Amino acid sequence: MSDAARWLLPSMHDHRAITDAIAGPLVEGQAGRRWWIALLASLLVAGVGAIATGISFAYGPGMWGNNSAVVWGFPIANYVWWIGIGNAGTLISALLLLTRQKWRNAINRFAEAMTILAVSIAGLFPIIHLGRPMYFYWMAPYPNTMDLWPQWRSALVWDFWAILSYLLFSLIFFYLGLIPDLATLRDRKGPRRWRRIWGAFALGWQGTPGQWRAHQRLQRTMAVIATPLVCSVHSIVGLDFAASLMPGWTESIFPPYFVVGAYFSGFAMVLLLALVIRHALGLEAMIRTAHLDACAKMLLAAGSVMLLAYGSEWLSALWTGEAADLRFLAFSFTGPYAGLTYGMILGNCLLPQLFWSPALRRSVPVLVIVALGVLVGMYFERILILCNTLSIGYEPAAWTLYVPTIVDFLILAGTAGLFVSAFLLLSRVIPLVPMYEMRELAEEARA
Amino acid sequence: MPSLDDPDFVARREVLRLIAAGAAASLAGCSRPDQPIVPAVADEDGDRAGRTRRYATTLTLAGYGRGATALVVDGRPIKLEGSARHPASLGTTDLFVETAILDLYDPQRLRAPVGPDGIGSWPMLERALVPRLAGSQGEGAVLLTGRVTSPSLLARIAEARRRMPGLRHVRAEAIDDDAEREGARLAFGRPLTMRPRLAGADVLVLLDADPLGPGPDQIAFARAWADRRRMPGKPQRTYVAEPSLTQSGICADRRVALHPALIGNVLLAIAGALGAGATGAAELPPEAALWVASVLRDMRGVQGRVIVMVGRGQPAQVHALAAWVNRRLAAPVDWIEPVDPDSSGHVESLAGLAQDMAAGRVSTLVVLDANPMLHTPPALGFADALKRVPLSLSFATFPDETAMATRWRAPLAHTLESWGDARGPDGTASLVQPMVKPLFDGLSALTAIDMLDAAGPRPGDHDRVRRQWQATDDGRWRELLVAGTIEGTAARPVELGDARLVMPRPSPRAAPMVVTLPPSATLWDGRGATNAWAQECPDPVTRQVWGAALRLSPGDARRLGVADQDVVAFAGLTAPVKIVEGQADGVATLPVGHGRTAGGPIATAPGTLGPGTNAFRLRGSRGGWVSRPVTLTPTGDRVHTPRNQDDFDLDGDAASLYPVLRPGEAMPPPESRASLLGDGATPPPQAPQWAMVIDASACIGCNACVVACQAENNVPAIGPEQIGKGRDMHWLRVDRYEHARGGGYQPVPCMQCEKAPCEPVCPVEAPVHSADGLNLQVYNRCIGTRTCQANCPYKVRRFNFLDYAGADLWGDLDPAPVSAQRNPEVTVRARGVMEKCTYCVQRIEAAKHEADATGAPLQTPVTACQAACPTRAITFGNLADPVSDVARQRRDPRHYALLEELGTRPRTTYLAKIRNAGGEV
Amino acid sequence: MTALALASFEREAAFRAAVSRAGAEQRRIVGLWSPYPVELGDIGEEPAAPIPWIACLGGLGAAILFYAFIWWTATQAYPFDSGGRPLHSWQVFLIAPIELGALAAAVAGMIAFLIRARMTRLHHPAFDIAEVERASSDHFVIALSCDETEGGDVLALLTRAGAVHSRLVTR
Repeated sequence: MSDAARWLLPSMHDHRAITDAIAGPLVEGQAGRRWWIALLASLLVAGVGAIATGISFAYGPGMWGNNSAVVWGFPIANYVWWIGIGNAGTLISALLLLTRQKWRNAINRFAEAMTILAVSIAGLFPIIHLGRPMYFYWMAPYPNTMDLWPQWRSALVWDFWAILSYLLFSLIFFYLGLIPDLATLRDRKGPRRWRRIWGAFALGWQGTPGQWRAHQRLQRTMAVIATPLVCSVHSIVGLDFAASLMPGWTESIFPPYFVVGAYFSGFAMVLLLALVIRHALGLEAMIRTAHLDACAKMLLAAGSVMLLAYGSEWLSALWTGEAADLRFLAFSFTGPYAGLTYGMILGNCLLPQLFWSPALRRSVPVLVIVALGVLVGMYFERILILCNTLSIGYEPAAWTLYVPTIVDFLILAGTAGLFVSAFLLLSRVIPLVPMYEMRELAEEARA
Repeated sequence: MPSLDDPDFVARREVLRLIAAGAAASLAGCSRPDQPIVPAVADEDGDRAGRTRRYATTLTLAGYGRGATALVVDGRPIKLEGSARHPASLGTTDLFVETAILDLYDPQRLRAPVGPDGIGSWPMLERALVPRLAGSQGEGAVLLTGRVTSPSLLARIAEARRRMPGLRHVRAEAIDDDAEREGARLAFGRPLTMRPRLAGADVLVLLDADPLGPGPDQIAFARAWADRRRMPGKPQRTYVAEPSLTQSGICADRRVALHPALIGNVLLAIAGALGAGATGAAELPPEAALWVASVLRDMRGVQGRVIVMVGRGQPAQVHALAAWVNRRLAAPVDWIEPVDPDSSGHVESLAGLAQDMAAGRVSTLVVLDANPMLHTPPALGFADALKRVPLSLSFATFPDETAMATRWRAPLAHTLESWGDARGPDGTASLVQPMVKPLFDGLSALTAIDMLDAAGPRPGDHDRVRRQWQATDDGRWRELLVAGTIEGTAARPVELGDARLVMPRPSPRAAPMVVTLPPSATLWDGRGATNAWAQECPDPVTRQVWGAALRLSPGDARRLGVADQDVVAFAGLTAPVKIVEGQADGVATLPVGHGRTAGGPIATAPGTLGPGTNAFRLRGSRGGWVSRPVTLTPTGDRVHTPRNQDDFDLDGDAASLYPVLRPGEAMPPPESRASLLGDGATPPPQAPQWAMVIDASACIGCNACVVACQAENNVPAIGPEQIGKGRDMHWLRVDRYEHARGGGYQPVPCMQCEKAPCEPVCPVEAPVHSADGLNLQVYNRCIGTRTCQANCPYKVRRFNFLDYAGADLWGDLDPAPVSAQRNPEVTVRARGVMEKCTYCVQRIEAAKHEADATGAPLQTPVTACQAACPTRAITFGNLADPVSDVARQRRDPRHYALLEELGTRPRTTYLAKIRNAGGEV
Repeated sequence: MTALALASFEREAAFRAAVSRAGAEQRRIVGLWSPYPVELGDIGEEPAAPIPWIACLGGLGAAILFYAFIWWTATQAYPFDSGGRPLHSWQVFLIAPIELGALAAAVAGMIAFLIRARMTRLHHPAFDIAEVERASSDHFVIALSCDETEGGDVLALLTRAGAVHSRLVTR
């Protein structure tokens, strides 16, 4: 059995079958009741989040739990968390492409889609969290009556450019991969209106050897750029904190640490999506247990790295014996946020260890639990990064605890709703598994 | 408001109309008083629009006058500062002077006479009042006031009583001095007032006394104490024995926490060693005995340079013995005839009045600027007795408990709205100049008496005061008004022989649990309770705002099994607990002045917490400031008690935040640190470089600077819920720290770092650095990312989480009048904008403009906090000028910068606290 | 009279075989279409495009321009003291240009790709050929031009190669 065969069931070794399996469920197919229920539910949640956001706009950031010491709360945590998830898609796709991983073909499309949605959501929070959101555009360089330009020394401006570049880059990368499949949809029997739209976006793709050549070249080139770009983006998010004076933030380990964390949470989300999509779209033949197994291994690796990162942080504190660091350590393990700390360790470090067992790597319930555990654990980590440092800074007189409000939680829930509903809609109009790459795989598998 | 509780609907509408009118009036701007008022500083271009003019006037606390300077812009007084000429001000202020300006514009103020039938008018009130008095020669009429030291008012009352012999004048101040007066009577046979000269005391022994704490003498005492501490040569040492931690206790060199009953034993021990003879079995706990031994050791050889002070909480015998000890030690203490001419006891006269009222011997009761319903010991049954008085009237600024209980209540003008005068605690007289016409149609105290004494002539307050001081020619009158303080009116010390030796009975070791009742450091006797700034000003000991908790020692708390914010019940009252290190075991402490049941939304319902607990209810029928024995029982409830600071202890390396030195000790030199980014731009040489040095040794934690900053910079009060959420807006906070080497206060304004961490992290350049070294915040540029505060190691930036400037803490009252207090030179910050201390940049700019206009060299501006500080702990000036005070203090061996190791190069730096605890600690 | 011989294949191998035979017999290949990239050796290949280089240049150029702009705003247009940092803090000024550079590279690459692949032509004669429709899904299509007379041999050639369907178009 060839390597390719591991990733594709024989039933899918025929090009037509692949096309039908993937393009079938799109607009011409029936949406199905579950889809509608899911869409309405997620839209409802998103709507509630929108109302909560509206309330904060109407009355101000005072609606949140932020206080004089902990000036950053949920909105920034949401931002870091989502950008982390968004980090994975493009990275996975690019890395696996460069390393010629066959199993990439089945998952890269929806992973990239996830990236675009997650990054777009993340991009909202630097605006939402502002005291005067209506002036967010002052962060952009444009000729203005005040003759002022942005403060290029500010990590927030780096963020601005990082997110902008990353989002547009991912969009191009995603679209590039989509073009041949759009051509397929254009040429396939189906609703006229949609075929026109797809046709327009296919930009006159024919599939001549010259086009394929150029296509592959650009894809590889972008993959080469993407990998460092993704790392830099999350390093910059790490710099939001590292490029400061606060204890627990000014740490050179932060950028790499944030990149791994991002990759980690992103992979958890990919795994979750893979489970949902293969089930919902009946793609078990293409997204196989072997894929899940591979993702699980990734989580195991990343989770272990996280454990190392945390461990090194704690050990260095204990080892240097700096009073401030020790106080900090004691606070995280015995302080009011200790629960979050243990939750974080459980979700990010311990749960993934289950994946040492091949059986568990293939058990759907376990995969779901661990993936969710990682996502929650990573959120706890974001909160702790903010609150530990800001709650007990240099001045004991200014020490203050952070307690989120209902509005905080609703906004967070809203983003999840937005993500799900957007994904549901996407799943109806674009193939979430790249057909042409599956055909390649099929040919190989058949050979 | 007056008759919102009145069933009469018409009256209610009337009220609303008047509220609107009042608000509108004060909004329309303030009109100048009829008679000419004279600015303290003559300025040729006069009342130019927008120009700040300064007028000398006087404000009172507990009836004693303290000279002040009112800053008036376009006819609006917007700020109060000290008066250098007045011995009780010395050019500085305290919390109560600073908050007074907000009272002037407070929407809770009474706006019209209100009678039994709802809203009335002045003529209606006169028709109801005058016939009863005039007819009966004032028979059965009583005028009840607080302490009156105003010569004009005393003369006016005397004049009225000549016409109405029946009219009695009863004087009862809430925070009385009965024990002191009686003590003096026991010791010298007549009431005298003790005036310690703290500047002359090498050793200061405070027995349950808090001269650095709140009170009319705080400024004078604190300044003298601080000046002595600064003197070169033999370092001063302050001993404190007290039941609960006070500002004096925090600033003390050697302190022992002691049950109030045992304070007398301590004094007996001291007196015994000075030859008072057999003192009986005055047993003391070991630590107290050690403390006494150390006191006695220090007393040797410093004859004439030791002062023993006893607090108002101690019985008269202890005061008498202290007088004997002071005479024996030839202490630097003056004794003067009481400034308050009424020598009767406050509580005793209240008791008498209550009896007369109950017996129906009082037909008319006129309360003038007093609130007996709040502070009279419940045992005297004043409330019931008042019901038996046919006609009762209260002239009050706010609808307080008494005003709401009397049949009539009438608005009393604010001090800044009336002519008058007052004597300071040392007898010095000063004039009260009105800055505005009454904003809410109130009468001045003098005019109020005019109303009672209808038959008398009515020359007007201005002329009465002027006649009182025989200022016949205008020139003289102008001089007096310019100076405010009248020279040579201080009381002369009386010549005294030895004091009679009075021996208080020693009390046994095992004393029962009692509650001590000190005045509130922020609300005084409760008249601060209507003031949002005072309510939001943190207590100097607990840092609690918007209410007070019952202070317990850790030991007692453990015994009762209660923690902070747990509610305990005692003597029919309940209060949340605050555990305080340094509280003596077996004694709880609850400041008076809280638990108001009337006075307006701010006074009665500080936010979610309810009115709090009125500690006056714990006073016995004979007064005193220690409750009868109580038993504390936890109720199981918890209430939220918002505080601005939770952690006081600095352990380990954190202690470096608040270095405490022995006398003569110097700070270790800071090690220099290199920076990747280099030193950056060097400022232009000709520009001044502003800097501030704060002497932690001089800071007594009085919070005058905090409120001064609030008044000067339009810092809003935000209410208890917001504080409870961990938000506060004070640009300047006074932290309190404790560690092994000692403790004290650390005022923390913006450090104005040369390498400000907040500046480069802002994406939109709202924080920028000025050429003269200011770390500026450009409000209209701020988009509220809060990155600056996140990256501020000192956490001194303040964020407008909500529309605080428009915050309405006054319930259904229109807060519009408050905006009239705002400083026109300072931006009112919008929601979502970060703000912070600016070194009072508006004052700096004003100084620059003055220099440009006159061509004179730039005068060093004075920041609001600096101007307020009673002990001159804050120095501000130009670092570039090597002979400036600031530059000089920076060369002081005690000089250090907060968190120096971070390399932020603060412009605000400190002189380390000195604790002269001696070797054997 | 020239004719156009069209053939569809279901299997990549057959398609490849047909292409190489056509090459061997010097037939003129006028069009090749496949549903996924197929390695065809040197037959039917066009010279590779310098897309990576174009992307690289685009990225670098944008980054340099952006850095220059930052330098100008920070040191020339409105220089002021911010936290005592140097006006030209190159260490941190580098970050934004790097990010934007990556984006610019992608954009440049995309443009190069569109031009190189002759894309954005929504109407193209190839779309009129029925067979090409399925080339985007499951068929490999080859178009040879030949003289009408030898059409038969060509079709035979293609059938031999394993065409599932072939026809001759004359015009």
